[in-house]
Amino acid sequence: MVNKRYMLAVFLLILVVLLNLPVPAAWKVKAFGRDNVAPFQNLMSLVIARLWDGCVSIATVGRAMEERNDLRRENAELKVENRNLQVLVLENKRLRDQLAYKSRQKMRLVAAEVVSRGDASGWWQTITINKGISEGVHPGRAVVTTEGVVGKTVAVYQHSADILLITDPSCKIASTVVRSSSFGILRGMGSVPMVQSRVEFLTQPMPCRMDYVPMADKVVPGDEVVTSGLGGVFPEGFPVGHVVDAGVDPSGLFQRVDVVPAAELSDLRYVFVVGE
Amino acid sequence: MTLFLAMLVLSGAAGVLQSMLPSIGLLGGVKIPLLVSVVVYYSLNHDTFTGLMAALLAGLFQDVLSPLMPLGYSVFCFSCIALGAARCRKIVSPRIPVVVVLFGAAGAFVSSLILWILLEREDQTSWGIWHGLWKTAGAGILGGIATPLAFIPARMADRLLGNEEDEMEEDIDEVA
Repeated sequence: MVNKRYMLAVFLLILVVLLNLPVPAAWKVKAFGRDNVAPFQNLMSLVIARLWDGCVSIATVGRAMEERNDLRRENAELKVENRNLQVLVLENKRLRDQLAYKSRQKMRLVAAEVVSRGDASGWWQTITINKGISEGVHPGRAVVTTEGVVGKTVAVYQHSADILLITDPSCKIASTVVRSSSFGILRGMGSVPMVQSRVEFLTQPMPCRMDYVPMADKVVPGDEVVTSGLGGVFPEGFPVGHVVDAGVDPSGLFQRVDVVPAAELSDLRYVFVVGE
Repeated sequence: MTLFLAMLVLSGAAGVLQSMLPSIGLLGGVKIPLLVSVVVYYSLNHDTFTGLMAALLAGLFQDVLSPLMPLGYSVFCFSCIALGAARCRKIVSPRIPVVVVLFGAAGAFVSSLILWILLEREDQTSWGIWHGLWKTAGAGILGGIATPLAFIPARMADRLLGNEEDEMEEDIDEVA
């Protein structure tokens, strides 16, 4: 009995220490754990992805040839278009040089693969990618796809990183409605049940909500929303989504605007982390 | 030692699976509570200290695999489950499927509720009250389904490693 009480006391001590660890120490514990779990997550993700691709291939073998031919044709057309655009790029550069404009610096993008969706607890909407500090990913950076903004890095480890999605209520983005130049703060609203979604089972993201939009600004469904660059995390001009509804918020002082994300968040496979 | 190692491997596997399996949108976007199931198993089938060790390991895995979760929160919630299950261990048999389902559901519901309260207090999450209740209820439902399934590999591991406890030889839980 004394032994059991002693063990319970030790356990309580460990619990108290864990709950009161300073943030840097807690971070080190988490980073150690994540760096050791990451290889298993990557392996599991690879297995699941291969199995899924195999099943999809079997189910769609009939369409594969047709899709291949369409893609070849599209590829050839894009190559021609790309050659024409290269000519325009050179001309643009020459004209800028002549006018002595400062050349815009290109952003560095780190490509990464999504290895898991959602954190283990289920209380946040996150994804995990297979790139970390070693590959040039840093915390507090924007994450995008070719379609639009996905979220931002919240925790970065040696070879993996966690991204908070824009559909999470904790994620807030300083945004602008392009047509009316209205500024506001976009936040996630979670997700709702839906029949078709591959990654989050039977769910789709709810429209995000843009708050603090001035009443005087005219916002209509269909308006494009982009990042304003004022928040310090997301560079200016990245597509966020488009407006589906605009109304007056309960205070009556501002508009609240519902925005559907541009990026296909329910089917993320590859993303880009914005670097320096 | 083998018991601890089996617990570590099972908790790790449950944690990785739990983080990788998609959440269930119809039940509030909750994850399948495999880690809670591991805690319930060890709490019902072994002594109190073993249950608490399982809670510590499973809680650490959940905290580590959740980027925004403060360290120790899941450990605290799972410890409450372990102590609660340990209290009931003498009056229920973990061999009865209904008992396993009920404890799994109750464990997942209670741990999810405590976690939600802790996170709301610290402003770590911004879900509304109805969404939070939906999530905790959903966790309970999934706990009832997942726990009997999680018991299978855990029981197999115990049998394989000779860690099964004889019920007649267990001490009465005297920890107040």
